[in-house]
This record gives sequence, C-alpha cells and structure tokens, in this order.
Amino acid sequence: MSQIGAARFRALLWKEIREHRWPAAGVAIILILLAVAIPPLYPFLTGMIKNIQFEEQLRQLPWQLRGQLEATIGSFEGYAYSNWFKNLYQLGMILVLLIGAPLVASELAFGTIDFLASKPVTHGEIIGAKLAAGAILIAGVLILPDITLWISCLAWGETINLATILTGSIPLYLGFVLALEAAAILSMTIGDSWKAAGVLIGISLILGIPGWIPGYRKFSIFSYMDAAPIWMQGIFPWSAILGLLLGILVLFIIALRLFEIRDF
Amino acid sequence: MMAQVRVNRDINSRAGAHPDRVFQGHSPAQDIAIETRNLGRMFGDVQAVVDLNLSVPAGSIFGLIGPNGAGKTTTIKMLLGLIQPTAGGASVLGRDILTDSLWIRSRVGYVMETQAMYGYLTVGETLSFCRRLYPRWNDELVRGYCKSFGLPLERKVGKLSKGMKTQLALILALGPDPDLLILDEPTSGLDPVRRHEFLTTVIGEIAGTGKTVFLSSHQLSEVERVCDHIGIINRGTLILSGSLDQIKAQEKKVRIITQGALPEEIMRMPQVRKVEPEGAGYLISISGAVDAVIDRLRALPHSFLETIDMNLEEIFMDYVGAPDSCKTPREGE
Repeated sequence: MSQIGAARFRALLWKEIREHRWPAAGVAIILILLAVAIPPLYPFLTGMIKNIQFEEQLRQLPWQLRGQLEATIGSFEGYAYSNWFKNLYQLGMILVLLIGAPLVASELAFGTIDFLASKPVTHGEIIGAKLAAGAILIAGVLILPDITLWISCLAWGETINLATILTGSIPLYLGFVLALEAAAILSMTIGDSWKAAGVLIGISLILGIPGWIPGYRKFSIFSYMDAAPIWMQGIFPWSAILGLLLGILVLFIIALRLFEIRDF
Repeated sequence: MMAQVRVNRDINSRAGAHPDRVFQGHSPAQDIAIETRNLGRMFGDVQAVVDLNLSVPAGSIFGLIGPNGAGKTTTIKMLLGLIQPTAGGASVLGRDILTDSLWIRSRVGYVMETQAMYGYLTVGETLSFCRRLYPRWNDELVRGYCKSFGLPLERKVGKLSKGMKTQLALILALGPDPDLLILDEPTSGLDPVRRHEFLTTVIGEIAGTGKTVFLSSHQLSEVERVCDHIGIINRGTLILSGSLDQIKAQEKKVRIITQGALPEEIMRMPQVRKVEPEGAGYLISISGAVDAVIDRLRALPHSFLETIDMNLEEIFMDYVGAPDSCKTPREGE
C-alpha cells in the first residue's frame, strides 16, 4: 500500500472506530464489572451448592449442565472458565451484532455511503477498514476484561495465568471476527440493520443446534470457539484455529468481492 | 405569455447569462473535461440513462437540466464510478471512468443532493477526515471559507442547518483543489438567499481558474444565470446539448398570421420542430438554421410576423414540458 493509501486507510479506520466506539465501550464496561465480580462469588456459590442435597439432584440433570456444574464446583479454574467464557461468548456475540449488522446498512440508510464512496478511496479500502475497525474493537473488548479478571483473581488470592486467559480468548476472538464478517455481508446484501441482525441470529441458532446433541458437537461452529482445551487441559486447539482462520479468509474475500461490485 | 419578445435578430444576445465570461461554444480541438460515449445504465427493466453522448468542454460551467428522475444523478454517479454503466463508456479529465475512477475522484470535487454526512463528527473532524483522503488539500482556502461562512468547527454536523451543511459540502468539494467540480442539485431545499450565496461562491471560486463545473439542476433560472453550456436530459436521453449562446441563437419561435393556410413545405422543413395554431395564425418552433425558415416565412403573404427569442425555461418547456411536443434529439453546435 502506498503512503497515500496507508493514510487513507488510517483515516477510514479512525472514522469506523469513532462510529462504533460506544457499543464497544458499553460491552467492555459490562464485562469488566463481571470480571471484577467472578472471583468473590466463587466461595459464595460453592458454599451454597455444598449445603444442598447435591449428588442426587446432579444425576437428574442433562449431561451438559451436569458437566458444567461438576467443573464449576471442582476447581476455581473450572468455575472461572465456565462463568467467564459464557459471559464473553454471549456479550461478544451481542457486540458483533451491534457492530456488524449496521456496518454497511446504516451507511446505505443514511446515504453516507455516497459521501464516502465519492472520495478517492477504493471499495476494498472501505470494507477493509470497516472490518479491521470491528476486529480491533472486539479485540479491545476481550483483552481489557481478560486483564481485569486476572487482576481480580489475584486480588482474591486465586491464581490463573494471564497467558491462559488471553490465549483462551483467541478461538473466541476468531469466531467473533468470522461472525462479524458474516454480519457485514448480510448488512451489505440485505441493506437493513435489524433484518441483518435477525438473519444472523437465525443462522447462529441453526449452527449452534448440533452443539446440544450428544455426538454431534463437532458439527457446531461454536465448538471451535471453545476455550476449554486451553483452560482445562493446556492444549492449544490448532485445528480449530486453522479452521476459523480459513473461514475468516473466505468470508473476507466474499465481503470484498461483494462490496467491490456493488453500486451506490 | 412569453417573458422575452424580441423582433430583432440579435441572436448573440445572452440575456441572463453570467457577465464575466464570454462564450463562443467549444470546438472539438478544445480540451474536454467530460465525454460520454453511448453511456447507458439499466436498473432491472428500466433504462435510467440511454445512449448518452455528452461533451463538457474544459473550463466551462455546464448545466445538466432535466425533470426529476431524468437520469441526472445516475449520470453523475457513473462519472464518479459509484455505479457501473451497463452500456457505453466515458472519460473524465481524460481518464476512463471504469479503469481510473480512483484518480478521477481525487481530482473531482462533488457536492451531492442529499448532503449526507456523518452527523456524529464535528465540522472540524469532518474536514480533517476528508483532508486525509485526498493527495492534495488547500488548507488556506478551506480555512478562508469556514471563516467567511461562519461555520462553527466544533459543532456536530448533525446539528447544522441545511444551509450550513450545503456550505460545508461545498468547502469539502473545493478543499482538494479539484480540476472539476460536480454539483448535483446543490441548492435543492435552500432559500433564495442561501442559493444565491452558494452560486456566487462557486462562480467566484471557479471564474478565471480554468476549472470546470458540471452542475445538475432543475432550477432553470440558476442554470441560466451561471452556466455557459447546457444539456437537457429527459427519460434518460439527452435531447439537447451545447453552448447556451448557440442554443438560444438556434432555438426560436415565430408568430405569424398568414393569408391562408401555412404551406406544407414550411411544415416539412427540417428546422421546423412544431407548428401550433394560435388565434388567426401560427406559433412555429424552429431549431437550427433559423434564418432559412424565417426568410421563407417572410416571403409568404402575411399580416403579422415576429421572431421570439426564448429563454432557457421556455426552451426547456418546449422540449420537455409539453407532453405532445415534438422532441427531436439534436446537437446545438
């Protein structure tokens, strides 16, 4: 990229980050508050669970919940992983929807895409900057609360390696970037933020269904975002990471191509 | 009914035209800022622009006029590479719109009709953002206009009035020191004072610099005031194009009261576009070599004959306004 091209891209990136900073800040604040709250709640929850007729009731629970509860009460690491990953996953997906669904659709709705596309920027630079800004904001929203959780754990006398927390967020992050690209493509093709968000939620639910069926979990796209191998077993899930990276590349090419041929 | 009725034959008079410029009409040897070649665009089954052959001389102020939905904005968007043509091609400042649209956009200032900008950015941030997108930017000029317009740099664009937004859009278009300024219905929705102010600024900035202005509008009075060349577009088709002087010289009406019916040979003359019965006589619309027709009419036994100059609005209405009018595509030069 030429010097002028790089300056243009930085300007576009700045504009996109500026545009989407409030949803990102909102989700980051909620996650930081949760990160602060998770360690002090551990003794309270384990104490409560041990006081009830637990063993009998545990056997009656569905296998997913049973596994989760066993992991939760087994160790602080299991408890922290279970609660933290779930929060990151849910709020992260909400952030992806908040950033991705209006990524192009809002510009189409307000007519600002004409303003932008009439400037000496390529369509590739526009969509590239949009996706890059989204990826940067999502990374920030994951990293800051991750660090907060680590500090909070230290403050409450629990030790979880910061590297484990951050590394555990990598598959989750890549999954969010993949979902962001899918949201951007829907936003571009549907041209309506709410409809794009609705379609993405529908697709996510469909893709998540295999994860609830024993033996079919590997067919759920979300199983590739799981941080459990890193947190619980110390294994880096290379195949999942490579699969996610490949998906990101494919969706990026599709988004780029669709945006380049689009009329404004 | 007619705003101007002249019996003289001063076909070079330019009532209403900008006085600072002397326009002779361009020859093919002159530089061309915009040239389209059978340019066309379809949206589904609808032909928005059809075989458009337009030539905008460099240094001119060209007004593309037409009713709403005539294809003006589609043409402009194709010139800027915002939408792709489905037929033909075009060049802007000598560069092809399909292969060099990035270069073209770096040399063209564009004010769009809607003036959609990012409402969450302040005026200052918007200027700074756009400045970083262009390879060249005239900070001094931008500062000067912000000061003269009294634009508050710290105010959010979303809080600006329509007039202020138009002023900001003009500053953003002039900032990159463009060789070509494209204005798409720039004064739409502005009050007469703001409209006058806008056009005065454009003319003040452009006059004498050799830059080209391509103005799309359906405000015929403002086009006639500032433009030296015009094109009339209707239903995607260019129906008249050329220098305003020459068009006015070549578009006349003759009111005549003859003794007896108008001979068929007059009606068949290629310059005669339309013959309308009017009272005891006829109102004849003539295009092209008007003198030949007028000389022929003078030779007829008649009790009254007057040649009527037409202003732009009358020419426009004659071609576009009347549903039964005979419209013949023709070049004004």
